[in-house]
Amino acid sequence: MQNSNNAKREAAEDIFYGQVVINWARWFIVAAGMVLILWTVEEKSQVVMGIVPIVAIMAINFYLHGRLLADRPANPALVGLTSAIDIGVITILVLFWSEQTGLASPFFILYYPVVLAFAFVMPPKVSIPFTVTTVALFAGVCVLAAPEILSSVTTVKALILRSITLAAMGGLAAYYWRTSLRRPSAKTVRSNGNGAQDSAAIA
Amino acid sequence: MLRDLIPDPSKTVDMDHGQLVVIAARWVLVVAGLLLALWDPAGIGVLRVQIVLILGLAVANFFLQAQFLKNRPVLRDVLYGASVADIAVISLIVVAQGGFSSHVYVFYFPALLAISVAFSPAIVSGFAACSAAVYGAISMATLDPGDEVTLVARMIMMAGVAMCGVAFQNVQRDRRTAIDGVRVETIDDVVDEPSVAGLPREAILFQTAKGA
Repeated sequence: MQNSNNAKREAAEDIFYGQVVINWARWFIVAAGMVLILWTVEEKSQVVMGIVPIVAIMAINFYLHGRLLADRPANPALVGLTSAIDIGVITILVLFWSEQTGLASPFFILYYPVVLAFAFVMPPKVSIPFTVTTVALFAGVCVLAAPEILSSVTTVKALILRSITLAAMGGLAAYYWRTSLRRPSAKTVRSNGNGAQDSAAIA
Repeated sequence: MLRDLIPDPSKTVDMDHGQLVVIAARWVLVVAGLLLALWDPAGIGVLRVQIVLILGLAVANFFLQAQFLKNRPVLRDVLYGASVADIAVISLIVVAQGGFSSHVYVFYFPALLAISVAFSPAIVSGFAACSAAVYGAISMATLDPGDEVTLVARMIMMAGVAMCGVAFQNVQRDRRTAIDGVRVETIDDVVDEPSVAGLPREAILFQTAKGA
C-alpha cells in the first residue's frame, strides 16, 4: 500500500516538476516556427494564415507556463492533450504549408523537442506510444503528401533516417527518465518500517 | 611509464545514468548510420569515409560500454573527447554528403540530447553552440539562396533540444537533492551501524523503543 502510494506520488511529482521542460520546448518551437513562417512566404495572406497555428501554440504555452509559475501546474491529462495539440499543429504545417510539404517540409524538425520533452516528463508506458504514434503520423503524412517518395531509395532512406532519429529521441529520453531519479535503488530515503515516513518532506 | 595508463581518481568520473544515455545514443548512431550507409551507397569515396568513421565510433563506444560493464571509472577527458568525436563524425558525414542537402544532420539531435543529460549546463552550452556553429558553417558554404531560414530553424531546434536536456537535468538534480536531504533510518539500519549521527547505537535503539 505504501509502495503504491509512493509510486503514485512519484508519478505526480514527475509531472509537477518536469512540465517546465515541455514549456521550454514549446517556446523553441514557437521561435523556430515563426522564423520559418515569417521568412519563407512572400504574400501577406500566407503570413496571416501561417501565424495562426503558431499563435495558438504560444497562447497554450502562456497559459501553461503561467500556471506553472503560479504553482498550479497542469495535470497529466492536460499535459497530454496540449502535447497532442502540438503534434497536430506541426503535422498540419508539414502537410499543408507552402509548396514544400511532406518529406520536403522544413517543419518536421519541430517534432523533435515535443517528443523529447514529453518523454522526459511522462512515464514510458505513455511516452513510448506517443513517440510511436508521432513517428507513424509523420511517415503517413509524408507518404500522403507525395506517394512517389516510396519509389525512390534516396527519399525512403531520408524518411527512415528521420523516423529512426525521432524514435531515438523518445526512446533515449524515456531511458533517462527511468534511470535518472528513481528509482532510488541506492537512495538514502528509508521508511521507519511502520510506513510512518513523512514522504511529504520530499516535495 | 605504466603509471600513465592508470587513471588518476581526481580526473575520472563514474559511469552514471547520463553517460549511459550517451552510450545508447551512440549505438543508435552507429547502427542506423551503418545501415543507411550500406544501403544504396552514393559513391565509393563517400562510402569509405562513412564506414571508417562509423566503425571507429563503434570501437570507441565498445570501450566505454566495457568500462561500464566492469564498473570502472573513465577519464573525464575521454568522455568529453568521445562526445566531440560524435559531433565531428556527424559533421564529416554531412560534409561528405554535400553539406546542407544531406539528411544526416538529424543525428545532431539525439547526440545533443545525450550530451545535455550527461554533462554540466556550461559544457552542454559549449557543445550545443559549437555543434550549431560547425553545422552552420558547413551549410553556409553549401546552401542555395533562400535556404538560410531553414538553416536558422534547424539551429534553433539544436539549441532547443540541448536546452530541454539541461532543464530536465536541473529538475532531476533538485529532486535528488531534496530526496537525499530526507534521511530516515530504519531500525534495521541502526542495528547494523555502530553509531548514527554521532550517537551510540544503543541510545538510538532506546529512543526508538520508547517511541514505540
